[in-house]
Amino acid sequence: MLKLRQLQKQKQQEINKKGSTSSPCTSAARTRLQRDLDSLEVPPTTQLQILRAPTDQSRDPPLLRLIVSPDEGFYRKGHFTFEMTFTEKYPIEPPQVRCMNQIFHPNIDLQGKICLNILREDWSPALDLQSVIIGILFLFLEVSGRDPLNKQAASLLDENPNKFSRLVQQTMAGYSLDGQHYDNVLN
Amino acid sequence: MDCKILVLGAGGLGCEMLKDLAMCNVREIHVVDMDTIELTNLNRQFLFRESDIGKPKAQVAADYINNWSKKRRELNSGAKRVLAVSYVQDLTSFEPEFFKQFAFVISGLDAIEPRRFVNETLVNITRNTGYSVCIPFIDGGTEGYKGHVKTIVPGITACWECSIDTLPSQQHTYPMCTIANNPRTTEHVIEYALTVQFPNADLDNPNDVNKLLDFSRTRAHEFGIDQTDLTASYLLGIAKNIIPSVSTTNAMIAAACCERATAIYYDLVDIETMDTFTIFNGSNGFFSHSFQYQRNPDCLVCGGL
Repeated sequence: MLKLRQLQKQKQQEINKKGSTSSPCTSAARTRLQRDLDSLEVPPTTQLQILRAPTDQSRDPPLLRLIVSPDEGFYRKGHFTFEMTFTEKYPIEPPQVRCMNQIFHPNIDLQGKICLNILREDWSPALDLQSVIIGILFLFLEVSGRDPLNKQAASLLDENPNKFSRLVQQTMAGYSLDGQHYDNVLN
Repeated sequence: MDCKILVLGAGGLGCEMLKDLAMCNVREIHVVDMDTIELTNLNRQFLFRESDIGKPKAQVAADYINNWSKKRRELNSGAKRVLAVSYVQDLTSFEPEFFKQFAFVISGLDAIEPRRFVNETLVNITRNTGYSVCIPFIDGGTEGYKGHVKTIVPGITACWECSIDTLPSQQHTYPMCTIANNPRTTEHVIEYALTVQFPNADLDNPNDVNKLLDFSRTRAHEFGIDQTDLTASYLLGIAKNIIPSVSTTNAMIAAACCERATAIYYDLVDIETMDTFTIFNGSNGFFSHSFQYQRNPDCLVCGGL
């Protein structure tokens, strides 16, 4: 293995010359998330809070809070809070995203689960935090009744968009609908 | 080869690798695998016999190699001795110190996480020792007729993490909203039968499998999905997430991995310029391509090294 050993010697000399001792980084998942954060351009209608930074020494996974305030569409004037957790398998696996408000939305159920293709079957390690934020924002700008999680909302959107719009306004103001409580997200 | 080599995995690829390395007269081969032998392994994992079912793969494989070496020396006292050592434990439970004793690490694993673990461990060894220890990591992988060989010389060639963006999506789960309301493929109806209609089905019980098949067929019919593929064996393939294993692919990829080790050991390649990635696809004719994967300067594991 002479060639490899020679190469190692050569590299060792280079290090000695430079005198640099590059420090080992934290886990790959956390470094990647930190890089996502560094290059992030938060869209104007969203707000990002870092609840647990990837650089935290904490054992718990990094946690981010995203507040989406759509400026058009059915959900205009609402403020919707999401929490994103990044496991050690990021970016092989997508972050886990939950909606923290109970809202009336075809693709978000009352437990806060979200049906967004890039968070499930269409996730790829080439996507990043920016793509996730834009994906979530799109759930409010381009509301679609396909692949629904809240079937009632989806069929209403298809059948009677006006009534859907009215119910969205009411539930966003905190009114109950069919005995189900919804959170006031207007403030 | 007068060195110590660590083989990760004693399955389809691992058995082939152990055989290849033993035939190369590698002085010591250590093998790690925490799995036990199953009946369905025997068609391709040829170091195992029916009487070995239930025993740990690593141990049976190492015993086989040791017996073979002993017999060979009885027949020819000049034959080199090959020693195999087994570890029946989780790969990620090893400390970095353990890896330092080996000249090469060759892997025939079936998952991404342990590969990332080994890659990171070996790169960090090179980093922390300032290149005084540098263990080439040769990673083989197969899936059906497809395979790859990646040769990673930590800090010199692209590491496993450098090419992480090229991996296909790893999610084999289907979104509940799709399978419940808008199934489009046979996989979707099978998944619905398994998770919603008959969640407690025993997949080893033919009656249960037939029931699942009935559910799936009815639902496929309801949503106008083509049912020609929908048979009991197809359903089981989806349910148990079975990827067909092709022994010839394993043999070729394992041989290519061992060839890379011998090439580096006997100085037959120039490490900085050699092709580090080989892909193979035998599903339609015979296609293979080797190239040098560039290091990613921003790599999360080997960047800055």
